[in-house]
Amino acid sequence: MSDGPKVSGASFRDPNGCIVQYRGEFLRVIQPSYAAHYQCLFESGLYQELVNQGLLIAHEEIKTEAFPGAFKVIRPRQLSFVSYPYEWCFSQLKAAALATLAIQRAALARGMILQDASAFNIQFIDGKPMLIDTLSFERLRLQPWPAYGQFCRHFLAPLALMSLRDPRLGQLARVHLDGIPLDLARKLLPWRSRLKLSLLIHLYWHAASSQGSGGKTAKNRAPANYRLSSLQGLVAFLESAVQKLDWQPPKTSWATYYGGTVTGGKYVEHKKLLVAQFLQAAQPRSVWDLGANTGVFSRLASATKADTFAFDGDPDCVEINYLETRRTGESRLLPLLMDLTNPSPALGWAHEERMSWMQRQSPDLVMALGLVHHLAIANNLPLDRIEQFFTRLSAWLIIEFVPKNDENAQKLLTVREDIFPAYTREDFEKQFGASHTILRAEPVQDSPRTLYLMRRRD
Amino acid sequence: MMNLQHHEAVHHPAFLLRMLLAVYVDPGSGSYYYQMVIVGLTTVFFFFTTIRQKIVSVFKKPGTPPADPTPPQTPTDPRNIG
Repeated sequence: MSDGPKVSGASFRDPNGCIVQYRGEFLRVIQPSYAAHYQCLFESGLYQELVNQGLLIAHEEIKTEAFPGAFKVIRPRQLSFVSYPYEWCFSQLKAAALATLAIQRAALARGMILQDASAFNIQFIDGKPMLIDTLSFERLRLQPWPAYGQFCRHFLAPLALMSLRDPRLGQLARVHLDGIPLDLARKLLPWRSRLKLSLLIHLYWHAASSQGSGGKTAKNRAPANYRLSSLQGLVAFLESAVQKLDWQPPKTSWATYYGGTVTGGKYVEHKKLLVAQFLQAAQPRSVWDLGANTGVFSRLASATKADTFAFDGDPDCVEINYLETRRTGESRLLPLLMDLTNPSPALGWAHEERMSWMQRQSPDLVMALGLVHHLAIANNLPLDRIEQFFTRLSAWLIIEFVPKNDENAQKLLTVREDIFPAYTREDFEKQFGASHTILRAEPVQDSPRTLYLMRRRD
Repeated sequence: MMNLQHHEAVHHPAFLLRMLLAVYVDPGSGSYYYQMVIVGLTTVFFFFTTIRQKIVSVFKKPGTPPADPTPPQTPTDPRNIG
């Protein structure tokens, strides 16, 4: 296999530089065309200010002969996992939007400007939204903000739709990688959204301004006397628009599905004890908690200093989980939205711009607590396919088997015919035992469930 | 050819802008030019927010930390446990 540099599939648009994978690390190669802007980033003090505030990813310059002709090669802080905007809950997208505007405000104050406002340039690092594209800055020219339309498509439109219509509409970003078209957002938003001045201006009228009206080509009409205060005003205006958008997660059936049953007795406390013991035995550095709900058990993993990603398909649960991480300042736990029966695919040009969920990381350990019965009974997934899925994911596995006589499994079976004769504990152990060594199998108190610690046979 | 009678946006500034420029405006440049239409609004907005910040800073006690713009809502009980 070649050890040469490989340009990232998501890094082909910017002529000033690109991300390359080289010797197991992600580096950013900067072309001479960006030299003046790069120097300004440092001489203006903007880089240090943003890094100090946790708004820009830190990097170090490295010396290498692998990229002839490059102006600089920098090594940004390496990320263990990359998440995408369509996997964020409402408050995560809102935090990313406000971070982008805070960066733009700081840049304007130091004579620079953000050239793009893509939500994909933001990552949640140490629990906070951070810009990862160091080449987004250019020296300030007094002209309209070139990234204004992109900001509205990537942030304002989805936030308005999630806030005023339905949080699941954030998934539109998965179809529209360059942001939700404003004319589409306008059609989907409720009529009352027109009563919000900020949305009227930045979405409704803005959408109309972007629709073509003839066959001529736009002339290059450079605006005269464009002022810095106009750019600063636009940032303040957009900040106000974003701040006013809000969404409170309701108590959905998912969020209360288990509340009155499995939280009773000693079940939760005993399960916590077992999970903590299993984590101690496995010592993982990275953990995926699948079907994490509000992250009660994910927090046991993040408490061991493992980088923990809590996936759930319910926007309400992810929102509650994220707000809890913010309240407690947890830096090692990132809740994300993911439908396990239809996880994020590879997207974009040649399927290389955005990686599929399983391409992005191979975690040390996967937790699947209270999940298998949903996959097997609610989604008709045979146990062998479930086992193959988990075998691909990670070496270590903490998995809970929920038998048919469990109260919640019974609820699933009341609305469907029992066509799952092979869904028994014996079948489960036989299936998983073929690919894993079962290290622990512990019954959980006050329930018919069993918790397993397994290690894949490599 | 555009049917003005059936165009829903005849009266708003973006439409007037297009008529003024009398050019085809692609989505990217549309956003660019649109900012020139709302420049007065953004400048006025900046003026008033700056004034408001100055007034607030006069009455604010020294050392008072800024309020979190979006205080998190916290669940009080561990619910939704699979």
